[in-house]
Amino acid sequence: MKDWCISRQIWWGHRIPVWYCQGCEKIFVSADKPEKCPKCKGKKLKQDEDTLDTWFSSGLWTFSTLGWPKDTEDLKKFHPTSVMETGYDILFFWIARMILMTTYVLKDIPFKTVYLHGLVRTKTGEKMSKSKPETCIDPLDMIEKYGADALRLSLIVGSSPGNDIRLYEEKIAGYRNFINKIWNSARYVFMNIDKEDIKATIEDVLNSKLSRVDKWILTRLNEVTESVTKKLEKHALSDAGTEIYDFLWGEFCDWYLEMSKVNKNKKVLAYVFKQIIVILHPFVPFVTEAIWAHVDPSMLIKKEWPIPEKKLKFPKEKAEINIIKSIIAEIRTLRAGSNVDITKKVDAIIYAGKHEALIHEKSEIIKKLAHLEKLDIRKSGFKVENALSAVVKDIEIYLPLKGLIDMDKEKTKLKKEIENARGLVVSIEGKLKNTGFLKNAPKEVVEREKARKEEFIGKLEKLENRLNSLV
Amino acid sequence: MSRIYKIQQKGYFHAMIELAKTYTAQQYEDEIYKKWEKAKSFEPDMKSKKSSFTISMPPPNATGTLHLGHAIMLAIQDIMTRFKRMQGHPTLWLPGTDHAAIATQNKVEKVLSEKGLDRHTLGREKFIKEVKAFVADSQSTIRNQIRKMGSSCDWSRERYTLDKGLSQAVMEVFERMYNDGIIYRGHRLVNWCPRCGSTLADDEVSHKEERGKFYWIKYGPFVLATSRPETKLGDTAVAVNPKDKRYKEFIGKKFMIPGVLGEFEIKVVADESVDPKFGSGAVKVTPAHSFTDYEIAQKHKLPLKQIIDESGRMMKNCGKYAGMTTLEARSAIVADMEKMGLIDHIEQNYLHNLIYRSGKKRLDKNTSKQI
Repeated sequence: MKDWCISRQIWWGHRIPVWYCQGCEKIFVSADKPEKCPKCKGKKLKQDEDTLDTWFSSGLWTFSTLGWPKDTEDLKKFHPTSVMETGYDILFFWIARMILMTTYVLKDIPFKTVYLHGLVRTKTGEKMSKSKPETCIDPLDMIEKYGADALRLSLIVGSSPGNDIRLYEEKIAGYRNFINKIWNSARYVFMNIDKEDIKATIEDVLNSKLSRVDKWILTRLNEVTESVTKKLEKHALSDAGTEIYDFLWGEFCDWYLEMSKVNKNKKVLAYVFKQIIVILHPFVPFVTEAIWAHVDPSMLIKKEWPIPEKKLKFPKEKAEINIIKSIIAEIRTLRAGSNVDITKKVDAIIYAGKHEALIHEKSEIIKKLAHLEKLDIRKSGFKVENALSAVVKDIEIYLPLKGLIDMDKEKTKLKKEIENARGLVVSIEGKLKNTGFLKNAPKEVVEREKARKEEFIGKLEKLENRLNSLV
Repeated sequence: MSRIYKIQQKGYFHAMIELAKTYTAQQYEDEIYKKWEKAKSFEPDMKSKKSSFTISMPPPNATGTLHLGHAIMLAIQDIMTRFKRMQGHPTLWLPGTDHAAIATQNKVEKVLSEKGLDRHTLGREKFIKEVKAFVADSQSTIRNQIRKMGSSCDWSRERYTLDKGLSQAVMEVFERMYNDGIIYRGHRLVNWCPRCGSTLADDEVSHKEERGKFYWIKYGPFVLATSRPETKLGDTAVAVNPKDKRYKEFIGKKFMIPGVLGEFEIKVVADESVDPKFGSGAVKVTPAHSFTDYEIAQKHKLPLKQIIDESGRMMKNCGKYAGMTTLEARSAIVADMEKMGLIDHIEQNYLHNLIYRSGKKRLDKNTSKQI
């Protein structure tokens, strides 16, 4: 480490408190404006013209802002600070100086944890630069257009400490859709419960008649709450955000709301939704507070963070509902992969093994969500010919497609598509092995080719699976 | 729809009707923020006995507007703060702004120059007044923008690096450090910007590569390469790597070197920092105008000879070259050296590492009395 030159020959800043006596030429330092020279008592004094390097005052930031040199309540209560969060580019200019100056002045550290975020780059990874206005995104324009909540999510989800993040308008628009999803689910919930339900406590929930589906969502809510709390404690903000996002959209909206339509429990609906809003709040404070205004007269910002409840653990029901979900998901995948008209209802046969009773009980849900005309549930049976098939654990699923699609035509079509995809993969691989191309093509073109290769390999795999599923 | 009607009729939850069909962020965000502020929701509960949670917001420069770097910082810190607050910890997120010394001064100078003014004609006091007005304006913009992000920082505790309390803290620390002998005054080599007439911090300069000439010069018993032949007037030594066998016998000896202003004496020193592959492996040492050379000079107790002044011009001790800019002096000196047969050859298109102030003005290294 080298000595730090702290004087600057500019006017704007903290003027150096060095004084020159015009009488006896004494040079002395005085924090307050001196009246006379300490040596000759002369009153003709001149202050040094220089100012201090700007990092001098920033180096004191954590404690000077709490009132130091006065011995304040704030200083006692809030110092050392908990987290210093800043860009990695000023680690040494600032972080190091704070540590040095704080330990010198207070004999204490300025902060316990340092969290460094990365640079925000463009979609293609370019640096945003003022000299190239077309690369820059103005956060205020984005707030005006999509709201602060959407902008916040687009900056947090998918970014990890120390790594650069890419931001582009479509990404922010995508999170705006999530904000709308939160709002729409609130509308749905409010429309489907009665006034008193919104106050539902854990006791109300436990005293109500809980279905398997209710027990499953309560278990998941509890798990997600626990996991999100742990992630936030570790400052894993992106992971925590992703988990709530997936839970609200993927599990609560796509599965629970659909599955519970058959047999609604308003207390559970209200309880689960309220808690999702609470744990979403730090990420999207505005939309959650706006919704909360209809839940409780006190503001959400001060609502206590939920703690996991032992009473809300139902592992058996969770496993059972997971089986039902997997069956529905498999049937959907089979249908989607075979170009069956989405509006067309199809028949299904399930050999349920030991899960026969469970699947019987949930047959209505399966039929509804998998869009089935007829569902034939048996303990076991012979392999069904001319059908699409899938397996979930020890459960066999068959979709007899006779009459829906022409099996031979479908097989020929698939084989041709597989051939095409293979050809494309080979040609891209050839390109990527060509040293001339690798050397001369711009980096983003090479990246694009690599991404295309991955895409076609994935496609190829799917096509092959489809061909294999045509029994 | 019947449900909405029923609720409306009974009068409970009529607020629910306001749950519009679609959510328009712009209609809600500012209102909600005002509500939080009014309820003092961002202020920590001082009575709580739980452990506290604090973040000092890195103060944005009081010069401009919010950019995405600020946005990501505010989003991260707000999530941390809201989470801890909801957990019941007395939570403080303390906001503020930085006076950003040179950045702000330059910005205001630019604004002034558009009006045909400069700080020297205004004088220190009037100039500071201009800067203060500019800063006050920027600060209110920035405060508003921080609010727009939803930041739940405690505005009642907002600070500014030049406010009264912080200035007091700065003076106090300065005095302590001075009394402890940590702060001293001395000659140091600095990044010198001839335009602003000030030293610059290492973060205020940027490096840039440029193609240019590389001069191989005859230098007593040596031939050595340099990109700044004009600095020969300030040379006080030649340095070689101690492991370099070619120069072993020269180490420690003194030589008289012919120069454009007559002969001068140099000492040959051995220093690990010299790259034997750079040029001929022997380098001239100009302690007053190069960081590496300055360090070599400190180690070997070599004299310093300053030849370039604070405006980037050759000093009085440079004879007929005095008053020239470094670039003017370079061509004049090279021409004279060629006449004297002191140039061995000139390499074209050599890759140099130059130093600039924020990508604009080329800088010199200079020594200056600094605190």
